[in-house]
Amino acid sequence: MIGQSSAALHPAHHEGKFLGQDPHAVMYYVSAVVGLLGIGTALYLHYLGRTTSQTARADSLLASLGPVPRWAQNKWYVDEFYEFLIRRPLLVTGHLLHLIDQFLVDGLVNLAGYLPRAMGKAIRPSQSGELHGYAVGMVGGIAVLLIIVLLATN
Amino acid sequence: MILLALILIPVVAALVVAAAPAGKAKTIALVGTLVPLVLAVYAAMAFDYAFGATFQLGNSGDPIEWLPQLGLSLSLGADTVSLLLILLTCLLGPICVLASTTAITQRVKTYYAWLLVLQGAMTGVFAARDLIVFYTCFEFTLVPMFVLISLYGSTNRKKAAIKFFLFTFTGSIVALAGLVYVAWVNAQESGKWTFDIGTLQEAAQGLPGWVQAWVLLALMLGFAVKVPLFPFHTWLPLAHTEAPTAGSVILAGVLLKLGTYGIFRFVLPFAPIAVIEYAPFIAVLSIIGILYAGLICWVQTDVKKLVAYSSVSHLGFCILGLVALNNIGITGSVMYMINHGLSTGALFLLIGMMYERYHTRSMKEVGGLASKMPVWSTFMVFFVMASVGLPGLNGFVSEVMCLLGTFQSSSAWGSATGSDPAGGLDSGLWGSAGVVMEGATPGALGPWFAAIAAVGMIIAAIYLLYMVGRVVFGPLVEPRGHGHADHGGGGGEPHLPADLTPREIGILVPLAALCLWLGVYPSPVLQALQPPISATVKVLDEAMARVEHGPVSPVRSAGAEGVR
Repeated sequence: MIGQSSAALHPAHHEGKFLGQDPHAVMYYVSAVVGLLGIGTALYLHYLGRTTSQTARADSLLASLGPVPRWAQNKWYVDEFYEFLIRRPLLVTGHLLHLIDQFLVDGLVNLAGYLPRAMGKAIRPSQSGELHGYAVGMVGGIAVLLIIVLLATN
Repeated sequence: MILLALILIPVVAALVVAAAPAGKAKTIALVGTLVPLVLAVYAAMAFDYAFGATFQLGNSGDPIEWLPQLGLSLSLGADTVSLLLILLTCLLGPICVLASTTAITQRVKTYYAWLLVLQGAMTGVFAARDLIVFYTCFEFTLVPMFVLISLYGSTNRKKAAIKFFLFTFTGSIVALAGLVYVAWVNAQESGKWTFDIGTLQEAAQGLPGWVQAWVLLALMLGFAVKVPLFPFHTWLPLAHTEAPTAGSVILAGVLLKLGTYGIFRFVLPFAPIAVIEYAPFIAVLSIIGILYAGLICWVQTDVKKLVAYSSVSHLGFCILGLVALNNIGITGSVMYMINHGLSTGALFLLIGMMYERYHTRSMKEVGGLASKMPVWSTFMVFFVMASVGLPGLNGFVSEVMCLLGTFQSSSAWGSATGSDPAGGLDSGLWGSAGVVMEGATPGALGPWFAAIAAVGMIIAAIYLLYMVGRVVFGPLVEPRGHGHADHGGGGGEPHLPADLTPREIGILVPLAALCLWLGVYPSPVLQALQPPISATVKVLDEAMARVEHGPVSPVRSAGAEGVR
């Protein structure tokens, strides 16, 4: 069950307190402080005390941060992640489905189309136009019918 | 009797084409399709939208008797659903004639004559109020299409034409069995043969659930092949790829809609109990089709085949909306029929224009055409966006409505009593804010069906943008030996400039304008569609009430947990 009533889906968000404060107001200040802190850190590391265009305070941190700078420089490998986890499997699935479509699904259709033709091919020799053959067939058929009638009446 | 004229004018024009010299064939065909277009627009203006569910413009009250002993009569009429599809058919008529100007240079008389006959037959399907008229026209569309594909198609045309004919014909024979069975039951009860769709509809609704299940199976077999629903789709990529441009446009634009229209007109009202029971099954097939065909699109190198498979994927949404069995889903589905006809029709036109210049459809041989054909590329991007479902263009409206209908079609959500499910767009979802729960309608699909199907929208964006990226943008790639010097030089073909001619722009602009209009302001059309769709939803609701409160039919007890 996804929800029993609309109240479960739409919790009234204006109710409730966070540490005795309105949670919305708390979030205004928290986000503003976090943002300012980030700007300040960037200012200190990248702009202040810069001697040449190539050097900044941030450079001295590189060694201590381990692999993090390399990840950051490669945009956290997000593209590679998508490529490996989503794009490639989907593309392979696409190729697979295309093969299935061509050979299995369409193959079944072609088989359904082929069966009547094969049956026709099998029966065709009997329709040779030779009266002897037809006569033999007739006699055989009459014999079978007679046997059935005899068996049924007894 | 406008509808009769709409059917007969193209057919008469076809006869004139056959009798006239070949040089006049195209002009006659153009007149023979433009007059119905004007008439259809007039019909749309003369239509009384206050009674949109009533069959108008025909002779429903006074059928022309053909064979009274067998109850055969020529009875025509259109509700707004039919009217819209007739408008689409009549719009695509002259566009197809104009699109064939340079592509078809041999056997022009045969070509235009069959094209005209095809239009007459398609109009007949949508205008029919008599089962035999419907079925005759439905099957007769196969003949012109067969000729168009097998004579004017590309290399594999013979195989494609035969497969198209046999596959769809086999399916519709089974559908005929289902329809005639209903007529027979009615004849047994009333003692008189009739093939009037309205009468048979009422007779069919009275059938017990397990009989309806058989009727459903028979009808769905026929219509599902036409749509096409997975796994009955393999004729389509072949036929689309091999058909001449105009053939592909009509195939995608109108012929596939014969199937979805059949489901709307016959499956839902004839077998409502069975549809309610088996809707999840049909929905699963359409979702498989959406994802399966979508992923196959992505690995195509032939542009035309890519768009062909995309039709399979797109029509999955259309069926999904229908089997959501609620107002918004069915409205979205009917809109989808129109929108897919406009945008995919235009895509086939564009691919045809490219093919006429480069004689290839392979993305390996052409690419980066934006620098050579800026106007063509602009239209290409536009119609791809319409097809992807970009908000603001028509595809978005119908796709979202189909998904929304699927989302809401869930009894598991509890109260369907919050709003009248048949109440139209003014109630429920659109009425006030925060009514998601109240919008829920009885059904067994629900959020999961919608969520999985919505992945298909993402896949559509992937393969269509991938195609645009290859064909329109990127480095210019042209087939070996292609240059302006030998452009259209061989075989006496007419010369075509690098980019689109005014004629080609002229046939694309109306389609683009409609895509934009239906994307930005679809509400007049949505409102017009309400009466017939509300009537259908009412039938389904009544059936659902009967299933829940009335005597339990055998089909119900089999899968009672399916519909709550």
